[in-house]
Amino acid sequence: MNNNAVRDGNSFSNSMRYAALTWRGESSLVTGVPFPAGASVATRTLSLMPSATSVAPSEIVHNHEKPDERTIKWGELCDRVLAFTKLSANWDGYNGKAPSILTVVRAILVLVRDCLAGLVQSGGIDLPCPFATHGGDGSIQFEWTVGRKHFEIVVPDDDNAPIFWLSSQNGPHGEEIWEGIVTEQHPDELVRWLKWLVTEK
Amino acid sequence: MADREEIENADDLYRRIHPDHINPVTQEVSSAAFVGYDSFNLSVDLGRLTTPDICMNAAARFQTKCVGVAAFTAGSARALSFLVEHEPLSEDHPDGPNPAHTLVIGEKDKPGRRPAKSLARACRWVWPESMESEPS
Repeated sequence: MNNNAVRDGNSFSNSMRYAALTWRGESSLVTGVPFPAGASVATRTLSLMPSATSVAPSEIVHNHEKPDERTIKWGELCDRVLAFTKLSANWDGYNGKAPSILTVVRAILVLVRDCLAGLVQSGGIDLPCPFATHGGDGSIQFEWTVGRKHFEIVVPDDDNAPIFWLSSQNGPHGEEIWEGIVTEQHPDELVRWLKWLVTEK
Repeated sequence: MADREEIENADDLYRRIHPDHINPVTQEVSSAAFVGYDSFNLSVDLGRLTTPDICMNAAARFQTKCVGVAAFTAGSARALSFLVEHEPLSEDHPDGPNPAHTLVIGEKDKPGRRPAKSLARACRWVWPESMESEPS
């Protein structure tokens, strides 16, 4: 990996940390962009999601409150996923390959854009921080286990391959399994399953 | 190259487990542990031609991390429509020699990760011996 990639990766990690910090609209402020009176947390959070045009890094001011445990966990998750790109070739002794930086970007995008932002839009449901891991083929996988319910998102190490999800009812390796593809045409489907994971018994 | 062995359904197949594949909260093995480098060929060792110790110690040879060795039977892989073929690696092979090397062949990744998940469900720990709980 060249130095630019490392620098870009760190910058990306910081922006994702920022997304996690602002997820609840509690720990950071953006100067010059006052929140409308009476705006909901959901609206505030969406307005704070990183965008190429709305917020310049120089406008971001962090207050000095200690970030809560949840914020730290999401930040650590971003760091962990980014570190996957630094795995050596043959990291598992089975010729495993490291995820590319592009796969990391796709993985964190699906978390922020499709999962977190989608849940904010549908009522601000509290999504637990997932476990992140990687396959020998360079894919990245997020896993949630809530009681006996399990949900996974798999991001293949191939820009042309679809991101897919998998859920099971009886633990991580439960027999009842549903699966689907994350598509822009049906973003609600992923959100519906995340709500199932977190809220339904 | 060593002769290829016929693999019986009752034969154990060993796979080293990397620490990144253990969920620290549930302590369970992720299905990602059963996705090979090309998501089609999964390298394992034929149990009767090796030992869990030898399989585990290979991690040091490759300078990789490993928390244990999981096993599933060839029959359980075949029941999931995988082919199981003995593919011993000779001394000239970059990863050789490994007379126990075996391939579990079949798509483990598409359309979902269901096949890899099924392999995870079928496996149990054989190293360390004191780890009594099943990976899945």
